[in-house]
Amino acid sequence: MTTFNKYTLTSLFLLVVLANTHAQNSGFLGKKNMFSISTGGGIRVLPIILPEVGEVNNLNYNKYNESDDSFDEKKNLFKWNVNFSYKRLIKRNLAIGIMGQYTTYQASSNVFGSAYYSYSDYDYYGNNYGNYTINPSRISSPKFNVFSLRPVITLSPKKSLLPMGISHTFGLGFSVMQMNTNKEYYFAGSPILPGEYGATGPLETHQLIAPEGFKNNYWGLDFFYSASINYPITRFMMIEFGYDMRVGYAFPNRGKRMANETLFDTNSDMERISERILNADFQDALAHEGMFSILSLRLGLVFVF
Amino acid sequence: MKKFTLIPLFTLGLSLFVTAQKTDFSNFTPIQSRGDMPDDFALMTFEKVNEEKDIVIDGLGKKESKEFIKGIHYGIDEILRSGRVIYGDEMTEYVTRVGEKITGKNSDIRFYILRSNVVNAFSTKQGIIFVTEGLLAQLSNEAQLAFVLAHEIAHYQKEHVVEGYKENVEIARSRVNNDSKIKQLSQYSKEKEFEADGVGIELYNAAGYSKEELFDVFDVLLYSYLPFDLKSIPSTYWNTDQLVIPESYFETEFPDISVEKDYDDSKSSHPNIQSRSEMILDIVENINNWGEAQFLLPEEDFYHVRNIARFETVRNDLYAFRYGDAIYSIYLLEQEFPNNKYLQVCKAKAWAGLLAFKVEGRYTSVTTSPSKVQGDPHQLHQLLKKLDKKQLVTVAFRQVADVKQQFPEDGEVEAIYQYAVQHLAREKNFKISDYYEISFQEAYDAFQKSLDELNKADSLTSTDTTEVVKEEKELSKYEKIKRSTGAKEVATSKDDKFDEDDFYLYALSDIIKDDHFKQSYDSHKSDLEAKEEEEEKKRQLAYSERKQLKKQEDKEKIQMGLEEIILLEPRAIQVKGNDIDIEKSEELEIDLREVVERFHGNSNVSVYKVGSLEYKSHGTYMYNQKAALVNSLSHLIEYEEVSVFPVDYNLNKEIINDFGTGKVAFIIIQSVHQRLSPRKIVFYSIFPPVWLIAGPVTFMKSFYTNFGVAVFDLETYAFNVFTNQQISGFTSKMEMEALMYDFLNQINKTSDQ
Repeated sequence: MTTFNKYTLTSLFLLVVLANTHAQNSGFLGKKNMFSISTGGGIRVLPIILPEVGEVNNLNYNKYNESDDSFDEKKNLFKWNVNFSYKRLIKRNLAIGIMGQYTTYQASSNVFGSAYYSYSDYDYYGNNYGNYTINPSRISSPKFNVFSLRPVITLSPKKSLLPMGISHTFGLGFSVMQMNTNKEYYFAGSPILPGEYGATGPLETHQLIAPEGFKNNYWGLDFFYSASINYPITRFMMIEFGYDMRVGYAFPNRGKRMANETLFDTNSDMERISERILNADFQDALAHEGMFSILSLRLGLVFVF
Repeated sequence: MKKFTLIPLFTLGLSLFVTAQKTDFSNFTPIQSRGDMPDDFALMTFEKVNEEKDIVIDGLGKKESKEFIKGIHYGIDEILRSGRVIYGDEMTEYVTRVGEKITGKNSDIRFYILRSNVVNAFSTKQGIIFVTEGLLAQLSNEAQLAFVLAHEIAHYQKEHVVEGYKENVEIARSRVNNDSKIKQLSQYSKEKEFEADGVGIELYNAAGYSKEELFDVFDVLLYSYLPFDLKSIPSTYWNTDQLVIPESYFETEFPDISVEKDYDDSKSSHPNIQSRSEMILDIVENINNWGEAQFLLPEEDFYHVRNIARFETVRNDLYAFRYGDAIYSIYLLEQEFPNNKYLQVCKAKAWAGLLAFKVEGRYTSVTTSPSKVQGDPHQLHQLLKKLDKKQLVTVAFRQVADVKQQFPEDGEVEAIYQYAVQHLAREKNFKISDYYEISFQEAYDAFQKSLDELNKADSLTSTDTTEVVKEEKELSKYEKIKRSTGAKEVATSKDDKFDEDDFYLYALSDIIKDDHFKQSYDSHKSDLEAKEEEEEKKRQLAYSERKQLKKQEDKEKIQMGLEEIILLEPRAIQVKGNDIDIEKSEELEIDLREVVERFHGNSNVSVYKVGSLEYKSHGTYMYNQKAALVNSLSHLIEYEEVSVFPVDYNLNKEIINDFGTGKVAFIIIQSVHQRLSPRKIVFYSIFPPVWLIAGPVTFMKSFYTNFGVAVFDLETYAFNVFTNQQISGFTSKMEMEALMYDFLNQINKTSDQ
């Protein structure tokens, strides 16, 4: 059974428990169930405030343009997220439920680092006529997805009445960070020509294939706080806006670290020669960044039923 | 709800019938509005404003005209909605008839009566003239009323309200200090008053009234702070078989009535009486064709209406907790209406009120300092001050008991009696055993007899008497009283004087033997002791238990298991910073009305709405119900800590009967936009990271809705609960509806749910 299946079951269990809880008080026009869907974005604070760890504190990312075989360097200030939650009112000022969150962001430009790439060229007869090394000048930035699932408790001030008005939500759950391996990544650089010291060839672009290590999930413990305000617009719908704060603790992934993994896979006619070892601290910092968000503004809808 | 659905048809017929009837003072009931509801009451403020939205007033810009129109409608509608305005009754009809003598029949001016003892009349831009009951009660004849009305009609005809507003705008724009602005405004206002006097005299003269009465009107205004008549209450007024208040308790000298006619009016809106009289004299002398009439309408109509107004002033005094003034007015009216039931019942209410406030330690807030009372009423106020707690409580209860003895079968009187007994039971210093079982008169007679006997014995054998006296002196006074077979006071020597300060101890001689009193007292006392015991138990609980108990009690307060409730017209206010935004308040009020209009409670609680929305379907009946409820609410809210007795007990009973419930909810919604305090701005500027976190919350919390609800019970005449929900964010219709829904759900539950 995969991890996600476990969580799916836990969620279903919680939903059944919650749906059978009789809230003592009235809720919104007698309705006690709330389903919310919202989207939000927050500044990538960690790269700004943290001391340099690898290249995590780089806000730029490279985007490969297939049409003209070029790279654009762009600023990546924000992380975007989509949230959904189901909550049920237990008391006038208390609701419990479950919340899922999907966060996505483009990591900094050189996460794949300044690794070098070497290859050998062979002629028709199989004779090696040169070994080349490329120090990539541009590498398209990987995209990371963070999935979180957490039980949440929502409280509102004593005089308030959930789900209307201001409320504070606390959650403690798990996050998993993955690189988006469905996307294609590229790197570009000029090969160092063999024989002549310092001579380089014309700029080449090669597709790279994410290393196995990156495909491994990074797991983390996730503490969530959100202050939000719900503003009723119809008898069954409210607008929700507020802000979130997430403090994730990514478990060190020593066992699955990406050491000795090839960063760049090649076309079949190319031979892998070299690789870069990404150091563990760098990877952990990367995971922390994915799971950390100090201030993310949110806007969404709450359906009350 | 028993009769509610039949009410519209029933009341229509009733109101036509009642209009034709003349008030019978022997069966007097509080005056209520009658007949068809005038548009001034039936239309909503926004409807009135919308009707005039395109009007641009000469001399004012479009925006200023709009503001002015809104302002006057909002302001006057507040009065019209206050529950203190009466239409269609005998007073209104009479004032209208006098008004028509001045304006003719086809005038668009409407006259209404305002429940207030303040002597006043005022006109509005809309063409409404309000006349207070206090003014009607003070006037001596129809001509005086005619001049007051003529003065107000002149204000209306000369459009002084608009002119005043224009002047106000001009002065506000001028670059002078506030003091100068006030003086300028005052000067302008006084000029308009002189003009209204001048035009008013012409109208008054044209109607055919006598010029002599003009000057007397100013006396009415000058002495308006005094009761409607001045009569000394003889000390014997209080004497009954049981109660005799000694002469020494009545001051024979009191402050003379003195008031200056030429007081400083430099900052006043009205000129002083002296200036007005002098100005009027000039005008009067220039008119030759003066009429002779003091009365153009039947004279008895004036006195009849004035008596109604005077009866009403008693009620107004009770509502305003001016118990001393009410007792004095009752005394005055008793001269013409001896043993009048309404007056006697009001008297019992006034004394019961004094008793309750004395017991609860809030007596000074419902009594007037005698030094501030001039003339004959001073004596009464001085007596109320002079009586100590035990004396006052006894005298007050005696008065209530006397009314009870007069009307033993009356439900309202019984309720007042029980209210008084309940407070008597709460008074720790009140002990039945302290009171003598013989009356003051019997004790006094016994004393005199013993004194006479002493004198007689002395003249016969001095030796024997000395022995008797010696023996007597060894006993305490109370032992002697007991020995004297019922007589509580005996002379022990020739020089003894009757102890007058104990007068109150004789005042309940019959009551303390009365089974009904004893049962009532014991019952209230045991209730009180049970409560005290409960309180004591609570005090002994641990903090956490007390907290838990308090939580449970709070829950019980709101979760009353109600299935029906009367919803008194809710109010909405928009607050920005510390100010009320009138325009936004009205918009919110309109939203709230829409919410209330479509709100029909939920499946468990039936809501009976009483407010202006129901005027269209239920007319004057609903207006009167609302007025009664508003009066009760404002009466109850004045002294939350003292249980008060309903002034309109029978009206309340009628409401309970009509609706099938006495539980009334009043909702007030405040939409608040709080400005960020400078302190916070400085703090956040110094610590920008704090702003990152606290800023959004602070912003979100700066807009909120306060949903305040008070539920009171007409049966127990007390508040059941005050609750306040505070929801952050802008106020919306949905939010208001949800809060109402929640409130109904809460009151429908029982605390064990």
